[in-house]
Amino acid sequence: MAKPAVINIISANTPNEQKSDDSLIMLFQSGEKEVFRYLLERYQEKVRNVIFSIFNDPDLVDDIAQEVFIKVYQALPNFRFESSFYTWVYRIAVNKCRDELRKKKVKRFFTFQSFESTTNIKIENLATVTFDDENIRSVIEDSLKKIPEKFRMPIILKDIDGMSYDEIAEVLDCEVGTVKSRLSRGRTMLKELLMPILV
Amino acid sequence: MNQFSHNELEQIISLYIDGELDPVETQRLEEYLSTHPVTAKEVELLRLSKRALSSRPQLAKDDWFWLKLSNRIEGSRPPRTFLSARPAIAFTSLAVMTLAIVGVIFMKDAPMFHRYFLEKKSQVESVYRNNIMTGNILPLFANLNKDDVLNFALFGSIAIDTSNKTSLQVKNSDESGSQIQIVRNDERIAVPVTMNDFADEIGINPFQREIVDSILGSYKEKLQASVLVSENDEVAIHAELVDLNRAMVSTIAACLEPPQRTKFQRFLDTRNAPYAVVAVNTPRVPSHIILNKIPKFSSSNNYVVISPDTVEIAQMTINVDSIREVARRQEMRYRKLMTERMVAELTERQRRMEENFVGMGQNRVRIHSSSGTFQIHFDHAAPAVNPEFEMVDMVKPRMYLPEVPRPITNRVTVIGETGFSFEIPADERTVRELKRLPKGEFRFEIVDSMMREPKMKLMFRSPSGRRKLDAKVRELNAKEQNLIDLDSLLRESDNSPEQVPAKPKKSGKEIELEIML
Repeated sequence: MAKPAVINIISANTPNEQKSDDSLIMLFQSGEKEVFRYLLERYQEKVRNVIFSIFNDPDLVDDIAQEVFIKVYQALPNFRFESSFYTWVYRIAVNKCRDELRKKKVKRFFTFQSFESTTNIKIENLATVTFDDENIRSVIEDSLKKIPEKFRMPIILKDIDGMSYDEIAEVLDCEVGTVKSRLSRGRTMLKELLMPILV
Repeated sequence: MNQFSHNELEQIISLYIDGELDPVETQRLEEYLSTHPVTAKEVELLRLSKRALSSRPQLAKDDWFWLKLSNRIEGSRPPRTFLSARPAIAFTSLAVMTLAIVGVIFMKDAPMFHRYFLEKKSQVESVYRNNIMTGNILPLFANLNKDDVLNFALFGSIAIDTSNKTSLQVKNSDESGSQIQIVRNDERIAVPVTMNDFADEIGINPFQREIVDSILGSYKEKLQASVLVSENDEVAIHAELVDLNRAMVSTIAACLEPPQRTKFQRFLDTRNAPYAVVAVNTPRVPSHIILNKIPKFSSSNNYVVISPDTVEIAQMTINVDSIREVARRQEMRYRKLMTERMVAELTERQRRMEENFVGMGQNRVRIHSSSGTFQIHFDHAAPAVNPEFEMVDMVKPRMYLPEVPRPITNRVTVIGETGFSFEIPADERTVRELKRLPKGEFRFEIVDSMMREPKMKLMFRSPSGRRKLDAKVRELNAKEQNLIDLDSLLRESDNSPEQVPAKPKKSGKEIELEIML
């Protein structure tokens, strides 16, 4: 989804920390490579967390995040301001994660029967759960991992990263309707996994 | 009655829990849920999972991320001799290889096996020791200028973080061993001395200044490589650091002419420096000897490596070029960051262990930490930095600072009869005593001082000898020195026999004060 480019007037007096993403990118494209650091500082935490959400393995996060930002660094000269930098970086991160998943042949097929949980937590009132009990959170995260990547990714971007449907569509490079439908399918799968354990 | 197809219900519930369902559809769904408790329970479960995921703990920001990435982007990551692989992997693979080889040999020849095993064991140990610090390792003092190095030479102290008055201090003594300590909230951080102050006060000529610059430049490299901080919260401190400032001040003294050395001695005295020049009359050491004998940085060094749980003496191979490279790129904010991590890590240790120690040769190295202070104590004086060119007799420890700094909260301005004034640091009791002084004319002089005690006496005395002391004070005022060093006044007084009375008069006007410093 193309977004009109926003061209800001770059004030020489504005500190780099306060410049907009687009201004920093234009500076980068004009040769001031060092401004990349400010872009990285803004988004490294988000990117590392989205990777962490997908793999749930802190040991993998750093390597993949570095590769994401190296890719961003290499591709930034060709950035055409058609989307926000934020969603563009996310798209690169999500694609990188998908590559990694493929490389590792981590293919998780969702089957109701294959789920064998030793955890057996029954919750009386779902609305009052506070997640002080880490077991409940880990049950939910474990269940999320069992959902196919195609349906899991929208849930991660929506529920963990708080993105809008439009942003998810940009990141996943699909229509908003597809996002909604994958979200609802993914949630139904999640619900089916959680019902026998938590309710 | 509301009815939904299965697919429609899935979609609507998903939009509902995202708050994206329009009001009409929301009402329709809620009516449905009120009559379908099983579906209502499923909706609550999805709400629960959404809440759980959105409140999931996030990874903390990695403050080293930019540094790591910039290393990769620039493709100039320092060689792995310095940034080493994970020790566990190296250890395991070598151990497996050793066992395999040993197994084969053992079948043939048991004594040979024994020899081979010992060899491999030492190799494995060596690999472990060489890999003791992992990840990015950065020098804490990467961006030092010559004034910083000069101040370390003179005072054995270097500011790590001026914002919270954290400093690294070294103390060396033949009697009580030597110490490296990191002190937080250090009220005693000396007023920095610049190279210009030093040159003006000692009166060195341009050529000598070049020599001193070279001396500082050579030792700067050693100082930079003396404290290393690793990404995995290990700190490595060079065992020689504790003797480095003595070696520096000794070498600087050696290049001065005897009269300059007297001035240097006064310079050190007035600033309460830890070393005093004792070989005042020894002839100047020719510059070519000094410059040739300054020890170059050796690549293999003994470090005290302090990790969160252990203390090790490790011989680490340091790539000086990589330190220069890091120094070039390292920014102040990383230094501050590392300082915070290092000080937090070191002071945190007191919770886990009160004291632990390791041996280094015949010496024992002990690690202490107490509130706000972290200390590495060598039971014996540290090894000389430069045994070949040892000028042990050139300087000696002058006095020892108290272990725990005593905060001085007041400065009192004393105004004399002729209008001169000076400031002294004073505790509450002294302030009270001074306030009780009779108004009008009075005289004062320091008549006694115990140099090695944190105590001095001030006595108001008879008029004899007053003129000279007044003149001295005026001279100091003329230099716009607001703070007059009591030690220097005392020495001036001691050196002027006519100024010191045979006995102070015991009159009603005499007031004796003890000022705790």
